[in-house]
Amino acid sequence: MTGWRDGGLDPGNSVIGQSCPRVDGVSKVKGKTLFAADLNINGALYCRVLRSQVPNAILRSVDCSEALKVPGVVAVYTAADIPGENRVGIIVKDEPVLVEDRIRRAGDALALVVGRTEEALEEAVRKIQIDYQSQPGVFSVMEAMGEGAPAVHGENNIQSATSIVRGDADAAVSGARVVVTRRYTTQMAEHAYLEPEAGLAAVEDGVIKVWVSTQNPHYDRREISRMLGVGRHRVRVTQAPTGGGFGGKLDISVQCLLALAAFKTGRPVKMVYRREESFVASPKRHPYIIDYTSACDAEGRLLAVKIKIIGDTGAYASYGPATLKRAAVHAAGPYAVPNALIESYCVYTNNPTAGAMRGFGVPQMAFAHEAQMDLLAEALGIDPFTIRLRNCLKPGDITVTGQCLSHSVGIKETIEKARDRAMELGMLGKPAKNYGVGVGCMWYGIGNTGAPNPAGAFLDLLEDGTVVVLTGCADIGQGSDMVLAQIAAEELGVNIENVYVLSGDTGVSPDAGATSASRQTYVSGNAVYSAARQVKEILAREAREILGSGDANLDFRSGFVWRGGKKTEVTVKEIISGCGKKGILTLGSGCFNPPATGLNAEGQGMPYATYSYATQVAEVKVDTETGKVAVIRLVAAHDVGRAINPQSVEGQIEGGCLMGMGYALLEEVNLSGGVIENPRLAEYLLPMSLDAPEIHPVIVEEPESTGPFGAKGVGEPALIPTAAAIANAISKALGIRFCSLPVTPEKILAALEKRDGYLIQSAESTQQRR
Amino acid sequence: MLPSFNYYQPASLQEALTLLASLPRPKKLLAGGTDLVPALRRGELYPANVVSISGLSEMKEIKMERGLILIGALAAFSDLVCPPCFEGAHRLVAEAAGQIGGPQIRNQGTIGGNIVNASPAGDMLPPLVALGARVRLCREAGERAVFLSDFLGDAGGACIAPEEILVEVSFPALPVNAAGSFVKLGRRNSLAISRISAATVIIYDSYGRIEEARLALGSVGPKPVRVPSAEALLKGQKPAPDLLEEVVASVGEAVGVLLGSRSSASYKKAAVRGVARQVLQKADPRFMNSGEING
Repeated sequence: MTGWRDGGLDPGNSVIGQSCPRVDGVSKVKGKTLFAADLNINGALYCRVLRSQVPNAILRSVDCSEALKVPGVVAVYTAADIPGENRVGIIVKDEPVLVEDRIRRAGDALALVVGRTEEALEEAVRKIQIDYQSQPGVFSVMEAMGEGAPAVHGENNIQSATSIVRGDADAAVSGARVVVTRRYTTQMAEHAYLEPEAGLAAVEDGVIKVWVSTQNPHYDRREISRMLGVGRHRVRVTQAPTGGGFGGKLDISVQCLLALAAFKTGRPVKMVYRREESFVASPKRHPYIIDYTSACDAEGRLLAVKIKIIGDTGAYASYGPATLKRAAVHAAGPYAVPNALIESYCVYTNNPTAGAMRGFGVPQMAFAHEAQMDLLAEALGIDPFTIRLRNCLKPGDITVTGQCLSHSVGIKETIEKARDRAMELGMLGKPAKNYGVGVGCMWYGIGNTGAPNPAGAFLDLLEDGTVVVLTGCADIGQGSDMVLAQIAAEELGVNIENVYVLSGDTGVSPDAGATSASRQTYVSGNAVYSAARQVKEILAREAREILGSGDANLDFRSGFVWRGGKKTEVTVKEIISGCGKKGILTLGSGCFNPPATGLNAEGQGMPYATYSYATQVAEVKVDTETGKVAVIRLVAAHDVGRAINPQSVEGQIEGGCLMGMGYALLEEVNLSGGVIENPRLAEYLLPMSLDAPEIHPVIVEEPESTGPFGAKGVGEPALIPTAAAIANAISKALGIRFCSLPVTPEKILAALEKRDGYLIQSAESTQQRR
Repeated sequence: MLPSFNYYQPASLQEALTLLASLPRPKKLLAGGTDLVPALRRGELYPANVVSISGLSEMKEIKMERGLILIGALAAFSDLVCPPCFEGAHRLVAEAAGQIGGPQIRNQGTIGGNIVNASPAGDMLPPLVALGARVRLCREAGERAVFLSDFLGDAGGACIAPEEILVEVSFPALPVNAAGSFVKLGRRNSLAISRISAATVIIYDSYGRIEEARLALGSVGPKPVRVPSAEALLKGQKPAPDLLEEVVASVGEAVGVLLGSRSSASYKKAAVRGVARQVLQKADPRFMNSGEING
């Protein structure tokens, strides 16, 4: 039996690398897809949450008596009604489903109202009497880390810290030709998925069933079962078609509230966040303060980095500890740096919770390390592409965590291909006034950082040739169902139309972990691949009997059995039915856990099995009178290992570029005393189609031998270098370095004023010296 | 969620005026609803009575009569984008209407609503002020016509009684040798609230010199402001790049004075120079340097 790893992949017949159309595409375009808010059960009650308006307070009491008198109200629940553990959290269980005694952020859930109409809920929420005493809060990381700051949890606001020590950074800095030190700051950002959080729950035969918009149904089940104090066999979570997540639907939103209401009332219940509620309640992208020192020799070769990162995780940990750990690991960028001293801190405040958001703490770092690379290049008069090519990781290089990268290190090729495409497009010609071209590079470890993150898959081959794939992997719109179908179809040699992927249902599918960390193509893809291999073994045994061909080299392609590279007359369908007649079921199960290790106290280890790489080049024009930036073109070269579905890869790249452009120029959650000032899409501005630049995706394939058909991941990498490239382009256009995101027209005009004022002064002083 | 209120849908303007005269306050008129409905949902308004005039097609007409261009108050922004009467010098009306919100808002929102709502960032207001527009207001007992610049209050808002309906806006058609343009600065290129907007109307004499120039700015005060210092600099001159520099500088100074110590002042007084430059160059290419014309 052969497989792609033995060089057996036949490009002529392969479904890998084909842009197979998405099964869900047509119904989504036609508006026929039923999202969680569209689901209904006759007689379902509605739920609404009363949320705290204040960011820090002692909650003395919640009086629901007046609310219960409102006609149409069925019940009002508070923390006292929760039968199990009132604490959830993916890494640290520090967040209450309903607050019992301490409010830690504006938006904390205080009471849950269940009723027959939305109108009744609205009135009832207003009639709940809250008795609380406000406490002084902490609203910046500096304040929170200071001596005697009020603690958000426990004794200390430093939730977690990571340090990476490699070589002797201080010694290397002191011997360097060029040393550049800057402080970078980045903003809080909102995911702003099209579909706000929503779900439906019902109790059927003692099982609490929840249909919900989510990125991780198996995690949801764990938290619901703990919160209700019931076994997991009594909870079933089914992922509803999900209208985007970007990391914001990894945490618990409506899941536990719905389950509690259904469990208590015994009736079906439904809940849909309004946009403002989605803004207020969901986690955000961490704002960072980054102090960054880079040192290089006369040729621009990096000698050392010293980096300190502080991230504001807000009131609850959410994915914060993992975000800041990942930030530390990726802080040096995709470059070989022999000496590194990196520390990162995840800090509690009374601000909105920050958690996972596309890029997982790395877009902030890319903004910083790419600015540093340009500053070093400028100091030495080297071209931005040249300094990156001189430093980028190559096979055999060792990362700052001491990991030796043996293969699939595509950063060099992405720099070259991005540069070549930019050249072809005429982006690198003679510089024009107020035009700038900027480069951004990134690397991204696929899967969780130094922690097990397995995925499982089941596979069932039916007699008519249908392949059923059961996977916990939540397709949140990125297209994992199609990618997994292609992997199964390729390995089993059946047509893609015959594969049915049933995903994200804890009642039928094994746990595949979160749809996060750009991991599902690599991790769940491998699980499906190994399940398919198992089934293929069964088929091969039967095929050998039918063909009477002993140990001959067999394979399955386009529905037929192939022997020694030649097609036979025997179909895969015949093989399956042959098995069936003998009572042999063609079932397979597979699982995969990326081969990685934890980090030791010095931050050394192999935190990821593989990394994706990318280089983006941005071309901008800056209006120096209004400060407005127009992004004209973006070239985005991404090493994805292997593009299972190139159209999906390009779609991810284009969407990521646009989202990254919003992060670079527009998007910012504004806070005042921990309260979001712009919790609406009319005030939190995202780029629109008329702002979109020309985007030129370039797919680079440096196969990953441990990946399914060589694939790695692209979901997050698509966005990571965009803000870096755009900020660098603006800096090139104006000759001014911007160290704070987003680069708004106000910041640009203020910097121009400062510089031109400075220029006038320096001209005067030059004259004086003469 | 919408609050509850009595909803009326009169079949004619006369019926609407009678209703408005008799209904108790608080009452609100509903045209396109793009401002009213979100305000109701946010709980900012609690009218007891809402009178919808959105079905009154008699108020949607756009026509030219006796040297006047007359626009029915219920004309949607999208109705203003294409008509031939908004080509040439009058194109500033179409340019402003075409940049409001997105397609859905332009199909729904009306010019009358934009005027009565009187937002400091209302995009139709600077062009209409620059064109010297008047509004016609009806009530059961009669009607009145006032200049738009007087209709808009100095402290914001519109001077309209709860019994009145704005039925029409009109302005004198510009002579043949005239030019006009509109420019908007938003944070993004669509669905953006104007941070600064500018509209200009230029009338030339037979020698190509500027006989009269009007420049109206939006979003720098409670209502659109004309910039007399800049207009005076332009009067009697031939458009040229040097002249533009003087004008732009004077606009910047004027806006600096207008905005005083507001938090947005330092940005806007600088950025308005760019907006003023763009609007004048768009109206008359002679304001551009030769290099700029070639791109």
